[in-house]
Amino acid sequence: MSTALRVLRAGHATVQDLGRPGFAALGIACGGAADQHAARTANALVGNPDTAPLVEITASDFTLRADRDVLVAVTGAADVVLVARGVCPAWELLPVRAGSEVHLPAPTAGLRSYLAVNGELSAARTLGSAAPDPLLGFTQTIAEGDVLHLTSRLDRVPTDPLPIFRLGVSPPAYAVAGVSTVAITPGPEHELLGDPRQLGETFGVMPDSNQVGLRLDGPELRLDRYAETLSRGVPVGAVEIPPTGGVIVLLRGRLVTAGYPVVAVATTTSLDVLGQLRPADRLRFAPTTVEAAVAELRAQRQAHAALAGRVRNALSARGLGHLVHPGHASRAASLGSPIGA
Amino acid sequence: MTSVVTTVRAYGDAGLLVEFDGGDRDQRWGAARDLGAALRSAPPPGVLDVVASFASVFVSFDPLAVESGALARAIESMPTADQGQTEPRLFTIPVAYGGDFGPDLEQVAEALGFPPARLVDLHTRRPWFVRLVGSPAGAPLTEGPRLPANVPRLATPRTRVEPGSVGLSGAQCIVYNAPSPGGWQLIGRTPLKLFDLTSPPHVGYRPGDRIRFTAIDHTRWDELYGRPLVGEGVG
Repeated sequence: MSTALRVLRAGHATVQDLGRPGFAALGIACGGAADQHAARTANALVGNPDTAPLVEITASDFTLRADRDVLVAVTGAADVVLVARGVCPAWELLPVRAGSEVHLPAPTAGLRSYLAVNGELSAARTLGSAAPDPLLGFTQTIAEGDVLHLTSRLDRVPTDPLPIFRLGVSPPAYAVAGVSTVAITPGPEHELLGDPRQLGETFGVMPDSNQVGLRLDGPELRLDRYAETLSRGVPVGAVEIPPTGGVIVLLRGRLVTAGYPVVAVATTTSLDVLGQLRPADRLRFAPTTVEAAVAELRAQRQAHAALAGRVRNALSARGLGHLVHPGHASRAASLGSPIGA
Repeated sequence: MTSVVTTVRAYGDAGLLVEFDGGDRDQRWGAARDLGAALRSAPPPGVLDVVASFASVFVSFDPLAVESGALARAIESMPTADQGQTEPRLFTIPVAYGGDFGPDLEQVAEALGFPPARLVDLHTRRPWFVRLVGSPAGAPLTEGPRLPANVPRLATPRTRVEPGSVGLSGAQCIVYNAPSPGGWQLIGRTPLKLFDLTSPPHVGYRPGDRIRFTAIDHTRWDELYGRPLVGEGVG
Protein backbone atom coordinates (compact mmCIF):
# COMPACT_ATOMS: atom_id res chain seq x y z
CA MET A 1 0.00 0.00 0.00
CA SER A 2 1.18 3.46 -0.74
CA THR A 3 1.46 5.99 2.04
CA ALA A 4 2.21 9.69 1.61
CA LEU A 5 4.38 11.38 4.26
CA ARG A 6 3.89 15.10 4.00
CA VAL A 7 6.78 17.18 5.35
CA LEU A 8 5.40 20.11 7.33
CA ARG A 9 8.68 21.43 8.74
CA ALA A 10 12.11 20.37 7.57
CA GLY A 11 15.01 22.52 8.73
CA HIS A 12 18.09 20.65 7.53
CA ALA A 13 16.97 17.14 6.51
CA THR A 14 18.00 14.63 3.89
CA VAL A 15 17.25 11.09 2.88
CA GLN A 16 20.08 8.94 4.21
CA ASP A 17 21.22 5.36 4.55
CA LEU A 18 24.36 3.58 5.72
CA GLY A 19 26.38 4.78 2.71
CA ARG A 20 28.18 3.39 -0.33
CA PRO A 21 31.46 1.70 0.51
CA GLY A 22 33.34 0.24 -2.40
CA PHE A 23 33.92 3.21 -4.69
CA ALA A 24 37.22 4.53 -3.36
CA ALA A 25 38.86 3.66 -6.69
CA LEU A 26 36.70 6.42 -8.16
CA GLY A 27 37.54 8.82 -5.35
CA ILE A 28 33.98 8.58 -4.07
CA ALA A 29 33.51 8.76 -0.32
CA CYS A 30 31.42 6.15 1.49
CA GLY A 31 29.16 8.80 3.00
CA GLY A 32 26.19 7.56 4.93
CA ALA A 33 24.65 8.32 8.31
CA ALA A 34 27.03 10.18 10.59
CA ASP A 35 25.72 8.15 13.54
CA GLN A 36 25.42 4.68 12.10
CA HIS A 37 24.40 3.08 15.39
CA ALA A 38 21.42 5.43 15.66
CA ALA A 39 20.44 4.87 12.03
CA ARG A 40 20.64 1.09 12.31
CA THR A 41 18.65 1.14 15.55
CA ALA A 42 15.90 3.28 14.04
CA ASN A 43 15.48 0.83 11.17
CA ALA A 44 15.65 -2.21 13.46
CA LEU A 45 12.95 -0.76 15.70
CA VAL A 46 10.52 -0.44 12.79
CA GLY A 47 11.29 -3.86 11.31
CA ASN A 48 13.27 -2.50 8.35
CA PRO A 49 16.65 -3.73 7.09
CA ASP A 50 19.56 -1.76 8.55
CA THR A 51 20.36 -0.44 5.07
CA ALA A 52 16.87 0.98 4.41
CA PRO A 53 16.65 4.67 3.52
CA LEU A 54 15.51 6.87 6.37
CA VAL A 55 15.53 10.57 7.26
CA GLU A 56 18.56 12.28 8.83
CA ILE A 57 17.80 15.61 10.48
CA THR A 58 20.66 17.89 11.51
CA ALA A 59 20.21 20.32 14.39
CA SER A 60 16.69 21.39 13.47
CA ASP A 61 13.00 20.73 13.91
CA PHE A 62 11.24 18.23 11.70
CA THR A 63 7.54 17.49 11.32
CA LEU A 64 5.68 15.13 9.07
CA ARG A 65 2.18 13.76 8.76
CA ALA A 66 1.19 10.46 7.14
CA ASP A 67 -2.09 9.85 5.36
CA ARG A 68 -2.22 6.25 6.62
CA ASP A 69 -1.29 4.56 9.90
CA VAL A 70 2.49 4.14 10.21
CA LEU A 71 5.06 2.69 12.59
CA VAL A 72 7.95 5.05 13.25
CA ALA A 73 11.06 5.31 15.38
CA VAL A 74 13.26 8.30 16.11
CA THR A 75 16.82 7.90 17.38
CA GLY A 76 20.03 9.91 17.60
CA ALA A 77 20.11 13.26 19.34
CA ALA A 78 16.33 13.65 19.58
CA ASP A 79 15.21 14.00 23.20
CA VAL A 80 11.54 13.23 22.61
CA VAL A 81 9.08 12.76 19.78
CA LEU A 82 5.69 14.48 19.77
CA VAL A 83 2.98 12.33 18.20
CA ALA A 84 -0.31 14.18 17.84
CA ARG A 85 1.16 16.55 20.45
CA GLY A 86 1.61 13.75 22.97
CA VAL A 87 5.15 13.26 24.30
CA CYS A 88 6.62 9.91 23.28
CA PRO A 89 10.07 8.49 23.86
CA ALA A 90 12.79 8.52 21.27
CA TRP A 91 14.60 5.21 20.67
CA GLU A 92 11.24 3.38 20.75
CA LEU A 93 8.82 1.81 18.28
CA LEU A 94 5.87 4.19 17.95
CA PRO A 95 2.52 3.52 16.30
CA VAL A 96 1.13 6.64 14.66
CA ARG A 97 -2.45 7.04 13.46
CA ALA A 98 -3.19 8.44 10.05
CA GLY A 99 -3.26 12.23 10.07
CA SER A 100 -1.29 12.63 13.31
CA GLU A 101 1.68 14.95 13.22
CA VAL A 102 5.05 13.48 14.13
CA HIS A 103 7.23 16.30 15.42
CA LEU A 104 10.90 16.20 16.35
CA PRO A 105 12.00 19.28 18.25
CA ALA A 106 15.57 20.37 17.53
CA PRO A 107 17.86 18.48 19.91
CA THR A 108 19.32 20.21 22.93
CA ALA A 109 22.50 18.14 22.80
CA GLY A 110 24.00 16.18 19.95
CA LEU A 111 23.58 17.01 16.32
CA ARG A 112 21.69 14.44 14.28
CA SER A 113 18.38 12.63 14.62
CA TYR A 114 17.13 9.72 12.56
CA LEU A 115 13.53 8.95 11.66
CA ALA A 116 12.63 5.56 10.22
CA VAL A 117 9.21 4.39 9.04
CA ASN A 118 8.24 0.74 8.60
CA GLY A 119 8.13 -0.01 4.90
CA GLU A 120 10.11 1.10 1.86
CA LEU A 121 10.72 4.78 1.47
CA SER A 122 10.77 5.71 -2.18
CA ALA A 123 14.25 7.21 -2.56
CA ALA A 124 16.55 8.13 -5.42
CA ARG A 125 19.80 6.18 -5.40
CA THR A 126 23.25 6.86 -6.78
CA LEU A 127 25.69 3.99 -7.12
CA GLY A 128 23.31 1.80 -5.18
CA SER A 129 22.83 4.06 -2.16
CA ALA A 130 20.41 6.78 -1.08
CA ALA A 131 23.13 8.56 0.89
CA PRO A 132 23.82 12.15 -0.22
CA ASP A 133 27.09 12.96 -1.95
CA PRO A 134 27.44 16.71 -2.42
CA LEU A 135 30.50 16.30 -4.67
CA LEU A 136 28.40 14.27 -7.09
CA GLY A 137 25.57 16.78 -6.87
CA PHE A 138 23.38 14.21 -5.13
CA THR A 139 21.93 16.25 -2.29
CA GLN A 140 18.83 14.26 -1.28
CA THR A 141 17.47 17.34 0.45
CA ILE A 142 14.05 17.05 2.07
CA ALA A 143 12.24 20.37 2.11
CA GLU A 144 9.10 21.72 3.72
CA GLY A 145 6.18 20.80 1.51
CA ASP A 146 7.80 17.67 0.09
CA VAL A 147 5.82 14.44 0.07
CA LEU A 148 7.80 11.28 0.71
CA HIS A 149 6.26 8.09 -0.61
CA LEU A 150 6.28 4.91 1.40
CA THR A 151 5.28 1.40 0.42
CA SER A 152 4.07 -0.45 3.47
CA ARG A 153 2.13 -3.56 4.36
CA LEU A 154 0.73 -1.96 7.51
CA ASP A 155 -3.02 -1.69 7.53
CA ARG A 156 -3.91 -0.35 10.98
CA VAL A 157 -1.88 0.21 14.09
CA PRO A 158 -3.20 -1.31 17.32
CA THR A 159 -5.67 0.95 19.09
CA ASP A 160 -4.51 0.21 22.63
CA PRO A 161 -3.60 3.14 24.85
CA LEU A 162 0.02 4.16 24.39
CA PRO A 163 2.69 3.07 25.02
CA ILE A 164 2.14 -0.11 23.07
CA PHE A 165 5.70 -1.18 22.60
CA ARG A 166 8.51 -1.09 25.10
CA LEU A 167 11.63 -2.32 23.39
CA GLY A 168 13.93 -1.16 26.15
CA VAL A 169 16.69 0.56 24.18
CA SER A 170 19.06 2.62 26.28
CA PRO A 171 20.15 5.65 24.27
CA PRO A 172 23.92 6.04 24.31
CA ALA A 173 25.29 8.52 26.84
CA TYR A 174 27.77 10.33 24.67
CA ALA A 175 29.12 13.13 26.81
CA VAL A 176 30.17 13.05 30.44
CA ALA A 177 30.34 16.51 32.02
CA GLY A 178 30.15 17.97 28.55
CA VAL A 179 33.25 16.18 27.20
CA SER A 180 32.78 13.31 24.77
CA THR A 181 35.26 10.45 24.67
CA VAL A 182 36.57 9.34 21.29
CA ALA A 183 38.46 6.05 21.42
CA ILE A 184 41.50 5.93 19.12
CA THR A 185 44.15 3.51 17.89
CA PRO A 186 47.60 4.69 16.70
CA GLY A 187 47.96 6.05 13.19
CA PRO A 188 50.92 5.55 10.84
CA GLU A 189 52.60 8.77 12.01
CA HIS A 190 51.91 8.17 15.69
CA GLU A 191 55.60 8.18 16.58
CA LEU A 192 55.94 11.74 15.32
CA LEU A 193 53.97 12.85 18.34
CA GLY A 194 56.93 12.33 20.65
CA ASP A 195 54.83 12.67 23.77
CA PRO A 196 51.62 10.68 23.11
CA ARG A 197 49.96 12.20 26.18
CA GLN A 198 49.30 15.27 24.04
CA LEU A 199 46.32 13.41 22.61
CA GLY A 200 44.81 13.10 26.08
CA GLU A 201 44.05 16.83 26.23
CA THR A 202 40.58 18.29 25.75
CA PHE A 203 39.81 19.68 22.30
CA GLY A 204 36.96 21.87 21.11
CA VAL A 205 34.96 21.50 17.90
CA MET A 206 35.28 24.52 15.64
CA PRO A 207 32.43 26.10 13.66
CA ASP A 208 33.97 25.26 10.27
CA SER A 209 33.36 21.56 10.84
CA ASN A 210 31.09 19.63 8.47
CA GLN A 211 30.46 16.09 7.22
CA VAL A 212 33.90 16.04 5.60
CA GLY A 213 35.71 16.52 8.88
CA LEU A 214 35.74 18.10 12.31
CA ARG A 215 38.22 20.91 12.90
CA LEU A 216 39.41 20.96 16.47
CA ASP A 217 41.12 23.62 18.48
CA GLY A 218 42.96 23.21 21.70
CA PRO A 219 46.58 22.56 22.53
CA GLU A 220 48.77 22.49 19.41
CA LEU A 221 50.02 18.97 18.85
CA ARG A 222 53.78 19.12 18.63
CA LEU A 223 55.28 16.75 16.13
CA ASP A 224 58.96 15.83 16.34
CA ARG A 225 59.13 16.71 12.68
CA TYR A 226 56.43 17.67 10.25
CA ALA A 227 56.34 15.57 7.10
CA GLU A 228 53.55 15.22 4.63
CA THR A 229 53.30 11.77 3.16
CA LEU A 230 52.65 10.75 -0.41
CA SER A 231 48.93 10.90 -1.00
CA ARG A 232 47.46 7.59 0.17
CA GLY A 233 44.17 6.03 1.23
CA VAL A 234 42.89 7.24 4.58
CA PRO A 235 40.18 5.80 6.84
CA VAL A 236 37.12 7.57 8.16
CA GLY A 237 38.08 8.68 11.67
CA ALA A 238 41.68 9.57 10.81
CA VAL A 239 43.10 12.22 13.13
CA GLU A 240 45.38 14.30 10.93
CA ILE A 241 47.62 17.29 11.48
CA PRO A 242 47.49 19.83 8.65
CA PRO A 243 50.53 22.02 7.97
CA THR A 244 48.67 25.08 9.25
CA GLY A 245 48.30 23.48 12.68
CA GLY A 246 45.24 22.37 14.58
CA VAL A 247 43.68 18.94 14.24
CA ILE A 248 41.25 17.50 11.70
CA VAL A 249 39.21 14.34 12.30
CA LEU A 250 38.01 12.97 8.98
CA LEU A 251 34.37 11.92 8.73
CA ARG A 252 32.36 10.00 6.20
CA GLY A 253 32.38 12.74 3.56
CA ARG A 254 36.17 12.86 3.44
CA LEU A 255 38.13 12.55 0.19
CA VAL A 256 39.51 9.06 -0.05
CA THR A 257 43.17 10.03 -0.14
CA ALA A 258 45.18 12.44 1.97
CA GLY A 259 48.80 13.40 2.55
CA TYR A 260 48.84 14.90 6.01
CA PRO A 261 50.39 13.00 8.93
CA VAL A 262 47.84 10.79 10.66
CA VAL A 263 48.60 10.30 14.35
CA ALA A 264 45.50 8.31 15.35
CA VAL A 265 42.29 6.77 14.03
CA ALA A 266 38.95 6.86 15.83
CA THR A 267 37.42 3.43 16.39
CA THR A 268 34.36 2.38 14.42
CA THR A 269 32.05 2.78 17.41
CA SER A 270 33.57 6.18 18.18
CA LEU A 271 32.59 7.43 14.72
CA ASP A 272 29.03 7.59 16.02
CA VAL A 273 30.20 9.86 18.84
CA LEU A 274 32.00 12.08 16.32
CA GLY A 275 28.88 12.20 14.19
CA GLN A 276 26.96 13.84 17.02
CA LEU A 277 29.47 16.57 17.91
CA ARG A 278 28.45 20.14 17.20
CA PRO A 279 30.56 23.31 17.21
CA ALA A 280 31.70 24.25 20.74
CA ASP A 281 31.33 20.66 21.92
CA ARG A 282 34.45 19.22 23.52
CA LEU A 283 36.13 15.88 23.17
CA ARG A 284 38.99 13.90 24.60
CA PHE A 285 40.78 11.07 22.87
CA ALA A 286 41.19 7.79 24.76
CA PRO A 287 43.79 5.34 23.44
CA THR A 288 42.68 1.76 23.03
CA THR A 289 43.73 -1.32 21.08
CA VAL A 290 42.37 -2.72 17.83
CA GLU A 291 41.32 -5.85 19.71
CA ALA A 292 39.37 -3.91 22.31
CA ALA A 293 37.80 -1.73 19.61
CA VAL A 294 36.63 -4.74 17.63
CA ALA A 295 35.26 -6.34 20.79
CA GLU A 296 33.27 -3.18 21.46
CA LEU A 297 31.88 -3.22 17.92
CA ARG A 298 30.98 -6.89 18.24
CA ALA A 299 29.13 -6.25 21.51
CA GLN A 300 27.23 -3.40 19.89
CA ARG A 301 26.17 -5.56 16.97
CA GLN A 302 25.15 -8.41 19.25
CA ALA A 303 22.98 -6.03 21.25
CA HIS A 304 21.56 -4.81 17.98
CA ALA A 305 20.66 -8.33 16.87
CA ALA A 306 19.07 -8.99 20.26
CA LEU A 307 17.00 -5.80 19.96
CA ALA A 308 15.91 -6.82 16.49
CA GLY A 309 14.76 -10.15 17.90
CA ARG A 310 12.68 -8.37 20.54
CA VAL A 311 11.17 -6.14 17.85
CA ARG A 312 10.19 -9.14 15.80
CA ASN A 313 8.60 -10.79 18.84
CA ALA A 314 6.77 -7.62 19.84
CA LEU A 315 5.35 -7.11 16.36
CA SER A 316 4.45 -10.77 15.97
CA ALA A 317 2.63 -10.71 19.30
CA ARG A 318 0.40 -8.01 17.82
CA GLY A 319 -0.24 -9.84 14.60
CA LEU A 320 2.14 -7.48 12.83
CA GLY A 321 4.92 -9.98 12.17
CA HIS A 322 4.34 -9.64 8.44
CA LEU A 323 5.72 -6.11 8.67
CA VAL A 324 9.19 -7.37 9.52
CA HIS A 325 11.28 -7.18 6.36
CA PRO A 326 13.22 -10.32 5.32
CA GLY A 327 16.39 -8.23 5.58
CA HIS A 328 15.68 -7.18 9.19
CA ALA A 329 18.56 -7.55 11.64
CA SER A 330 16.67 -10.28 13.46
CA ARG A 331 17.38 -12.42 10.44
CA ALA A 332 20.34 -10.92 8.61
CA ALA A 333 23.76 -12.19 9.63
CA SER A 334 26.14 -10.50 7.21
CA LEU A 335 27.22 -6.95 7.74
CA GLY A 336 29.54 -5.63 5.07
CA SER A 337 28.89 -5.09 1.43
CA PRO A 338 31.22 -6.13 -1.34
CA ILE A 339 33.36 -3.75 -3.36
CA GLY A 340 31.05 -1.74 -5.55
CA ALA A 341 30.61 -1.33 -9.29
CA MET B 1 63.06 -9.55 -9.58
CA THR B 2 62.20 -6.41 -7.73
CA SER B 3 63.67 -5.11 -4.50
CA VAL B 4 60.35 -3.72 -3.31
CA VAL B 5 59.63 -4.70 0.29
CA THR B 6 56.07 -4.97 1.54
CA THR B 7 54.86 -4.24 5.07
CA VAL B 8 51.31 -4.52 6.32
CA ARG B 9 49.99 -2.88 9.46
CA ALA B 10 46.68 -2.07 11.06
CA TYR B 11 45.26 1.34 10.16
CA GLY B 12 42.32 1.81 12.52
CA ASP B 13 40.15 -1.07 13.72
CA ALA B 14 38.73 -1.63 10.24
CA GLY B 15 41.70 -0.90 7.98
CA LEU B 16 45.07 -2.18 6.85
CA LEU B 17 47.86 -0.18 5.24
CA VAL B 18 50.13 -2.05 2.87
CA GLU B 19 53.31 -0.08 2.21
CA PHE B 20 55.96 -0.60 -0.39
CA ASP B 21 59.56 0.34 0.20
CA GLY B 22 62.80 -0.04 -1.72
CA GLY B 23 63.12 -0.25 -5.47
CA ASP B 24 62.47 2.86 -7.48
CA ARG B 25 59.38 5.04 -7.59
CA ASP B 26 57.86 3.25 -10.57
CA GLN B 27 58.36 -0.13 -8.98
CA ARG B 28 56.65 0.93 -5.76
CA TRP B 29 53.79 2.47 -7.72
CA GLY B 30 53.53 -0.68 -9.87
CA ALA B 31 53.45 -2.93 -6.81
CA ALA B 32 50.64 -0.83 -5.34
CA ARG B 33 48.76 -0.78 -8.62
CA ASP B 34 49.07 -4.55 -9.05
CA LEU B 35 48.03 -5.39 -5.49
CA GLY B 36 45.11 -2.99 -5.71
CA ALA B 37 43.97 -4.61 -8.95
CA ALA B 38 44.33 -8.10 -7.48
CA LEU B 39 42.34 -7.16 -4.39
CA ARG B 40 39.58 -5.58 -6.43
CA SER B 41 39.24 -8.48 -8.82
CA ALA B 42 39.29 -11.17 -6.11
CA PRO B 43 38.60 -9.51 -2.77
CA PRO B 44 39.19 -11.71 0.27
CA PRO B 45 36.06 -12.13 2.39
CA GLY B 46 35.35 -9.07 4.51
CA VAL B 47 37.13 -6.55 2.27
CA LEU B 48 34.97 -3.47 1.70
CA ASP B 49 37.22 -1.16 -0.31
CA VAL B 50 40.71 -0.76 -1.71
CA VAL B 51 42.70 2.41 -2.43
CA ALA B 52 45.97 1.95 -4.31
CA SER B 53 48.19 5.01 -4.44
CA PHE B 54 51.81 5.95 -5.06
CA ALA B 55 53.50 3.52 -2.70
CA SER B 56 50.74 1.98 -0.64
CA VAL B 57 47.40 0.22 -0.67
CA PHE B 58 44.77 1.01 1.96
CA VAL B 59 42.24 -1.75 2.56
CA SER B 60 39.08 -1.16 4.56
CA PHE B 61 37.27 -4.24 5.83
CA ASP B 62 34.52 -5.43 8.14
CA PRO B 63 36.33 -6.45 11.35
CA LEU B 64 33.42 -8.69 12.34
CA ALA B 65 33.73 -10.62 9.08
CA VAL B 66 37.51 -11.11 9.11
CA GLU B 67 40.23 -10.63 11.71
CA SER B 68 42.88 -8.04 10.98
CA GLY B 69 45.85 -10.39 11.21
CA ALA B 70 44.19 -13.07 9.11
CA LEU B 71 43.41 -10.54 6.39
CA ALA B 72 46.95 -9.18 6.51
CA ARG B 73 48.30 -12.67 5.91
CA ALA B 74 45.85 -13.25 3.07
CA ILE B 75 46.99 -9.99 1.46
CA GLU B 76 50.67 -10.78 1.91
CA SER B 77 50.25 -14.08 0.12
CA MET B 78 48.14 -12.78 -2.76
CA PRO B 79 49.64 -13.36 -6.16
CA THR B 80 49.79 -10.03 -7.93
CA ALA B 81 51.78 -10.79 -11.05
CA ASP B 82 49.97 -11.42 -14.30
CA GLN B 83 46.93 -9.40 -13.50
CA GLY B 84 46.09 -9.60 -17.16
CA GLN B 85 46.85 -5.90 -17.41
CA THR B 86 45.94 -4.68 -20.82
CA GLU B 87 48.33 -2.56 -22.79
CA PRO B 88 48.34 1.05 -21.67
CA ARG B 89 45.74 3.02 -23.60
CA LEU B 90 45.92 6.57 -24.85
CA PHE B 91 43.11 9.05 -24.23
CA THR B 92 42.97 12.44 -25.89
CA ILE B 93 41.46 15.26 -23.86
CA PRO B 94 40.81 18.59 -25.61
CA VAL B 95 41.42 21.63 -23.42
CA ALA B 96 40.63 25.31 -23.79
CA TYR B 97 43.57 27.06 -22.13
CA GLY B 98 43.68 30.31 -20.23
CA GLY B 99 41.09 33.03 -19.83
CA ASP B 100 38.07 31.99 -17.82
CA PHE B 101 38.85 28.35 -18.54
CA GLY B 102 42.28 28.54 -16.98
CA PRO B 103 42.44 31.55 -14.66
CA ASP B 104 45.86 30.63 -13.26
CA LEU B 105 47.63 29.96 -16.58
CA GLU B 106 49.55 33.22 -16.62
CA GLN B 107 50.75 33.11 -13.03
CA VAL B 108 51.82 29.49 -13.36
CA ALA B 109 53.77 30.29 -16.52
CA GLU B 110 55.37 33.21 -14.75
CA ALA B 111 56.34 31.04 -11.79
CA LEU B 112 57.93 28.61 -14.24
CA GLY B 113 59.77 31.39 -16.05
CA PHE B 114 58.30 31.28 -19.54
CA PRO B 115 55.38 32.64 -21.57
CA PRO B 116 51.91 31.01 -21.27
CA ALA B 117 52.12 29.72 -24.84
CA ARG B 118 55.21 27.76 -23.91
CA LEU B 119 53.40 26.24 -20.94
CA VAL B 120 50.55 25.14 -23.21
CA ASP B 121 53.07 23.66 -25.60
CA LEU B 122 54.77 21.80 -22.78
CA HIS B 123 51.40 20.52 -21.49
CA THR B 124 50.29 19.24 -24.90
CA ARG B 125 53.50 18.02 -26.45
CA ARG B 126 53.67 14.55 -24.86
CA PRO B 127 51.14 12.34 -23.05
CA TRP B 128 50.81 12.39 -19.28
CA PHE B 129 50.90 9.17 -17.27
CA VAL B 130 47.84 8.29 -15.14
CA ARG B 131 49.15 7.47 -11.68
CA LEU B 132 45.93 7.49 -9.69
CA VAL B 133 42.21 7.78 -10.24
CA GLY B 134 40.72 9.60 -7.26
CA SER B 135 38.70 12.46 -5.88
CA PRO B 136 36.61 14.07 -7.10
CA ALA B 137 34.58 11.61 -9.19
CA GLY B 138 37.34 9.57 -10.79
CA ALA B 139 39.72 12.48 -11.35
CA PRO B 140 42.87 11.38 -13.18
CA LEU B 141 46.05 12.30 -11.31
CA THR B 142 48.83 12.34 -13.87
CA GLU B 143 52.56 12.91 -14.18
CA GLY B 144 54.32 14.21 -17.24
CA PRO B 145 57.21 16.35 -18.34
CA ARG B 146 59.71 17.73 -15.87
CA LEU B 147 58.97 21.33 -15.08
CA PRO B 148 61.60 23.94 -14.27
CA ALA B 149 60.06 24.42 -10.84
CA ASN B 150 57.32 22.97 -8.65
CA VAL B 151 53.97 24.58 -9.27
CA PRO B 152 52.78 25.79 -5.88
CA ARG B 153 49.26 25.24 -4.67
CA LEU B 154 46.98 28.25 -4.22
CA ALA B 155 47.49 29.97 -0.89
CA THR B 156 43.71 29.94 -0.48
CA PRO B 157 42.01 26.97 -2.16
CA ARG B 158 38.96 27.70 -4.25
CA THR B 159 35.73 26.56 -2.60
CA ARG B 160 34.42 25.48 -5.99
CA VAL B 161 36.31 24.42 -9.12
CA GLU B 162 34.39 24.05 -12.39
CA PRO B 163 34.17 20.43 -13.53
CA GLY B 164 36.56 19.70 -16.36
CA SER B 165 39.18 22.07 -14.94
CA VAL B 166 42.78 21.05 -15.54
CA GLY B 167 45.00 21.81 -12.56
CA LEU B 168 48.73 21.70 -11.88
CA SER B 169 50.47 21.24 -8.54
CA GLY B 170 54.06 20.26 -7.94
CA ALA B 171 54.85 18.40 -11.14
CA GLN B 172 51.45 16.73 -11.42
CA CYS B 173 48.30 17.42 -13.40
CA ILE B 174 44.74 16.64 -12.39
CA VAL B 175 41.38 17.00 -14.09
CA TYR B 176 38.59 17.87 -11.68
CA ASN B 177 35.61 15.77 -12.77
CA ALA B 178 33.10 17.31 -10.39
CA PRO B 179 32.68 20.73 -8.82
CA SER B 180 34.72 20.45 -5.66
CA PRO B 181 37.00 22.58 -3.53
CA GLY B 182 40.48 22.66 -4.98
CA GLY B 183 43.88 24.16 -4.35
CA TRP B 184 45.61 23.26 -7.62
CA GLN B 185 46.34 26.02 -10.15
CA LEU B 186 43.96 25.89 -13.07
CA ILE B 187 45.43 26.28 -16.57
CA GLY B 188 42.47 25.20 -18.72
CA ARG B 189 39.24 23.27 -18.93
CA THR B 190 37.97 20.37 -21.00
CA PRO B 191 34.43 20.40 -22.45
CA LEU B 192 34.26 16.62 -22.26
CA LYS B 193 32.47 14.72 -19.53
CA LEU B 194 35.01 12.31 -18.11
CA PHE B 195 32.85 10.75 -15.39
CA ASP B 196 29.58 8.91 -16.07
CA LEU B 197 27.56 8.42 -12.92
CA THR B 198 25.14 5.95 -14.40
CA SER B 199 27.34 3.46 -16.31
CA PRO B 200 30.10 1.33 -14.83
CA PRO B 201 33.06 1.58 -14.95
CA HIS B 202 32.18 5.32 -14.74
CA VAL B 203 35.53 6.50 -16.14
CA GLY B 204 37.34 5.12 -19.15
CA TYR B 205 40.95 5.36 -17.99
CA ARG B 206 42.85 3.42 -15.35
CA PRO B 207 46.17 3.90 -13.61
CA GLY B 208 48.86 3.15 -16.16
CA ASP B 209 46.98 4.69 -19.10
CA ARG B 210 48.16 7.87 -20.83
CA ILE B 211 46.38 11.14 -21.45
CA ARG B 212 47.32 13.52 -24.25
CA PHE B 213 45.97 17.01 -23.85
CA THR B 214 45.25 19.05 -27.00
CA ALA B 215 44.51 22.75 -27.29
CA ILE B 216 41.14 23.82 -28.71
CA ASP B 217 39.46 27.17 -29.25
CA HIS B 218 36.07 28.31 -28.03
CA THR B 219 34.18 27.22 -31.14
CA ARG B 220 35.42 23.68 -30.78
CA TRP B 221 34.53 23.92 -27.08
CA ASP B 222 30.85 24.45 -27.91
CA GLU B 223 30.88 21.52 -30.34
CA LEU B 224 32.40 19.15 -27.80
CA TYR B 225 30.66 20.33 -24.66
CA GLY B 226 29.18 17.47 -22.59
CA ARG B 227 30.46 14.72 -24.86
CA PRO B 228 31.84 11.68 -23.08
CA LEU B 229 35.52 10.74 -23.18
CA VAL B 230 35.20 7.63 -25.28
CA GLY B 231 37.67 5.01 -26.37
CA GLU B 232 41.00 6.50 -27.26
CA GLY B 233 39.96 10.00 -28.04
CA VAL B 234 37.28 12.18 -29.51
CA GLY B 235 37.33 12.98 -33.20
